[in-house]
Amino acid sequence: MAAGFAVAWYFYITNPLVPFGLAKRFRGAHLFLLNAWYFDALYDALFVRPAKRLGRFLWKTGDGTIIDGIGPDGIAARVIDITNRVVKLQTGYIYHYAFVMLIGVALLITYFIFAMGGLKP
Amino acid sequence: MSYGWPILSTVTFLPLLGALLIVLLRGQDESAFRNARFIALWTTLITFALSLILWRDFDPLTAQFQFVELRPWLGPIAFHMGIDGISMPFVLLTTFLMPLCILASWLAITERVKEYMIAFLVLETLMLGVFTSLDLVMFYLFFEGGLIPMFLIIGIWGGQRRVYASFKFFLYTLAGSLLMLLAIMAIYWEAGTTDIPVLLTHGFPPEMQTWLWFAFLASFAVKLPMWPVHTWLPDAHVEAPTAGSVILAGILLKMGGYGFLRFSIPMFPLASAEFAPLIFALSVVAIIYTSLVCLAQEDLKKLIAYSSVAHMGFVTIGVFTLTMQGLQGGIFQMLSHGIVSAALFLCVGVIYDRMHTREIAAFGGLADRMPIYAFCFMVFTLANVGLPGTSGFVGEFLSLTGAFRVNTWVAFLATTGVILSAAYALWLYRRIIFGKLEKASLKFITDLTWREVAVMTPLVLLTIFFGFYPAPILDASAASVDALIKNFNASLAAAEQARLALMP
Repeated sequence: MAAGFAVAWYFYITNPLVPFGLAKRFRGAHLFLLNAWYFDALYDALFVRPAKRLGRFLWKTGDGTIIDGIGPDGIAARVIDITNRVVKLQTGYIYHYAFVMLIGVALLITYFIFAMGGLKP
Repeated sequence: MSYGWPILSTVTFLPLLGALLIVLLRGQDESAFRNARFIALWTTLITFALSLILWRDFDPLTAQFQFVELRPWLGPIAFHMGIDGISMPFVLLTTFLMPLCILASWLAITERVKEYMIAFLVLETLMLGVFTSLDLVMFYLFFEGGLIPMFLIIGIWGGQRRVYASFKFFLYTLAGSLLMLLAIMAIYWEAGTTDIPVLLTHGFPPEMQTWLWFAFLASFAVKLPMWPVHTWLPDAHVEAPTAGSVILAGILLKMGGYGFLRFSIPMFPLASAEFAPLIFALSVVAIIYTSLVCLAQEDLKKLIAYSSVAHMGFVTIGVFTLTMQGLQGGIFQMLSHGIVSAALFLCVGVIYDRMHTREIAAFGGLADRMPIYAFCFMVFTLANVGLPGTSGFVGEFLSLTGAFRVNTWVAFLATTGVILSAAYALWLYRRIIFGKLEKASLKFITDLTWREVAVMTPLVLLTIFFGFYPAPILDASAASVDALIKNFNASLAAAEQARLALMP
């Protein structure tokens, strides 16, 4: 403590210009000490910025694209896709509906004949 | 305890009476709005006063259901009500928050005021019914019915994307709850009754327990919400009006946790024990994941909404440790979060009413012009972080203590969530309250009005009171939680006996 007191007395009271010279001569050491060993910058780079970036990724990609995209929004969008196609079947032309009916009847009869063995005598 | 009148149904259905009175009001002018506001305020205040009688006469030494009312209703479904140490605090939380919600909407809601107040009063009845019913079907009716007023509150009085948010909220929760309806039917065909006290002693076959447990989980996990079915919550919160967010965070979320305590654990103990690690995993993911997401938020309400998900993670961890500390911690955390998150949403509402924006970047340096507001916001921020001396600490500490006994890794990972919550909460506070008041739009912002002070004061007092003296809640729930753990361990032991008996 006594040594520190002596150094401080010398630097601040007796000869206040010496520290400036020292700072110029040992620039690297001066900056290192001035920025508190760059601990704040280190923390910022190691923890703060990655945490923010990760948070942003989890929010936009994790919640937005993956959970919502596959879950509620995805299901809603697929329902709209499917109904949009089903809507196209409703053309309004009688012969379209009649044709669909014909296909249905044909399928039904085919199923009846092959799977159920047709009419029993 | 008998009063000659059914006190529990009075508390539950009184808000409905107030809603009826508002329906009878005529006109759409300012005087009708004024009457609607006062009717709603007085109804909720009287309901709160009556619920205090429940608290006074509640016997904390027994795990039995109290204030029981039983009347025949729909054949095998009875009108059966009662509360125990687990549900009583939630009833009080509900009745306590409602008058504050009405006060907070006093000037903020200017359109369709009558309908708004009716929606809130109906919602109060439905929420109270969830906590007081002792019949599964009744519980289900109240549980699902609560969706309707909330759907309207978000969809009519909400913000820009209210329609998207309200549909998402409704469909998400409904999809989960329909599985619970199936489970309720299965329970009826298995046990022959829907009476909860009977079902609590029923003992379901082990393979059935798994299915029923997952069906109930689907409903409660969405409601709570647990990761990964939480995405409705941020949207619903952001779009809901202030009081809607308060109720959503304060009470609706707690129904999920209450459901675990009332149904999943006592009725399906084997499945609960088997799948507790799954719950731990989901909760730990929820805590860390949503806390990180909080760091990236630009919207005030969304940040608090995500932090709610993280805090409910502590609840599920605590509850599924099945230890005295964990369970009581979970219950306490729910009540504390009910007060603190409700208060935080009210705080957001205060500045939203003034500036009509929720962007964090739009604020800064509010401490200069709003010292009282800065103080209130500080108390709630610190409680949200879980600082000792606030109610948030007690819940988190007890849950983590319980978790530590069961699984140290769960406790370790969950604790990182506490650190992250300190980071995002304090950073938020710094961006809003501290710094230079530079933005021109904020130059003439005013401090809290007397009405806002009246809303904040009880919340500040309770937050600090429960931080130093949590005994009222812990004592009230102790007997019921103790019985819950005893029955749980007895069922596990019985199942082990049966398994050993079958071995050659």
